[in-house]
Amino acid sequence: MITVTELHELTISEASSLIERRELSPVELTEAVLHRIDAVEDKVNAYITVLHDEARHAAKAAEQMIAAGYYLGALHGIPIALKDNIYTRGVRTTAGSKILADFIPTEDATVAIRLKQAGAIIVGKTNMHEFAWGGTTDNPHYGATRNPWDLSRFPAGSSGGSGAAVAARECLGALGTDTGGSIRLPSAVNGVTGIRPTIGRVSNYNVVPLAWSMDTVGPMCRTARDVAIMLQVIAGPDPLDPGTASVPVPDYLSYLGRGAEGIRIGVVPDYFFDHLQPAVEAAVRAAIEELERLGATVIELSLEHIHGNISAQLTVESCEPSAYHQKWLRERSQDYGDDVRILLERGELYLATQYIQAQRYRTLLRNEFMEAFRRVDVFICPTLPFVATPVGAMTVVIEGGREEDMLSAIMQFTGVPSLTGLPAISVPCGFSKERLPIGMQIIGRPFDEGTLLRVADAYQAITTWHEETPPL
Amino acid sequence: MKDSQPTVTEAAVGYFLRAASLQVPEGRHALLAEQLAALFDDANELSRKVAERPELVPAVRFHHPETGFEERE
Repeated sequence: MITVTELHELTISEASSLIERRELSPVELTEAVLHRIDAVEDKVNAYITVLHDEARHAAKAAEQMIAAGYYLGALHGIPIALKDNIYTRGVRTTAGSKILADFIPTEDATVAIRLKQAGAIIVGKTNMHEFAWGGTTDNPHYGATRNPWDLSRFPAGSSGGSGAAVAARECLGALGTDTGGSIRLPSAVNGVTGIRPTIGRVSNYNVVPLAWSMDTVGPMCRTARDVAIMLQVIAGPDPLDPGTASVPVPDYLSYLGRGAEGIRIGVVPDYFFDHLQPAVEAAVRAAIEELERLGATVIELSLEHIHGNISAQLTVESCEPSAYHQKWLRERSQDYGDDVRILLERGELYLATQYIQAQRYRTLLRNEFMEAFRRVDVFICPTLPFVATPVGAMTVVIEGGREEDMLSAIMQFTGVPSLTGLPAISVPCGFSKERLPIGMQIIGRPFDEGTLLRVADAYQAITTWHEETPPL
Repeated sequence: MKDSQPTVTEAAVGYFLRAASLQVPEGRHALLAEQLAALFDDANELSRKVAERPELVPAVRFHHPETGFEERE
């Protein structure tokens, strides 16, 4: 028997089953989540805007539809959060910035429309690194979001609010955006499951951009099953976004429960396992061994060109944001946080040839991955090489006592799928001795999110890392 | 191997900021130059490698899951 005070602990899958059977009302569930937000938000600061009234109104409408016999599917009546760079009609959308502090869109993003049409209840807009240009969610305008596992630590970013909100049970699922790792990084350090879909799989229409050629929207949830449910709703072509692909969207749930038998796992020891905190390496290697016990096989590979990825990532992710921000950087430069402002200034000074060569490098790396996918079905590696760092840290020690720049260090593994456009999911796979979550990244073929969900679900069927609850 | 001279100087940063009509306090020009010098070392090395591959075109989107290579029209 579930009590009202425990409703916020439900996964999307669990809650939707109860709602479909009319054993749980969307109003009850939404009230429980809003109560949870009110109880922990002063510690976590996952939200920029909480939509108490709007959520209650939507939940009532969702309940009335069910009572009238109209059940819309697995997201009907489910409280969901949106990163605050996703347009919401009539609700301010700040992108974590002072510049857009008063911006109230007159239209929804396509992904927001699709969630609402599926019956989801939007409970709030989550905190983020300013304009998504950074990986800490230490936001100078709306405060730092804190990691629910240790409030003195960061939630990573840029979708740090979404990751923390899911981990803290302040929503049942959330949308984030990912350019260089901004869904997968906070998924890993907050102990949740999040996917960056293939570039072009999900519409970016009415989402404040960071770098157009790498931006994606994706779900962050507690389980791979919940990720599949959310991705099913938001994926697919959008005539309003010419970047979306006209590729059919499969039934993602049909990939679940199929185990990992026969899956060929690619491992790249001389890059992805070369420079890690020991706890991260141990956890990810143990996870791969678990999958081997399920019948997967491991194939070691070397990727000749992978080492250029950080430079290419920094180049592309410097130049494109600076183009988007060109006007504001000249007219309102004082309204940016110091860290984002200097990144935007840097991006103005790259050479055009460096940017184009970085884009050509992406083709080189993508071709190398596509060739490797003749031999393997997925790649597995750590999502990032370290666990959550203290809030405010600009450097990180991975090994050997050497301090490294946070931005370069944090996206050295997530940047690979970002550059190649490949889908990748982060799955909880353990904890450090300080009880800080560790994530593994599974990278797949283009548009093969289904296999990523299959492997993630197989792993979660035999492990409990994703069921652990932060000590709030 | 890195050049013994910095690839980006404070004066160069000031010049290009002016060329881009971007106001940046002069106190930050040196910091930008230092950061860009490190970034450009890597970017230039990557550029040299890519320049040896004339067949590469900048294209990153997939539209055919079977091949993964074909681009949208």
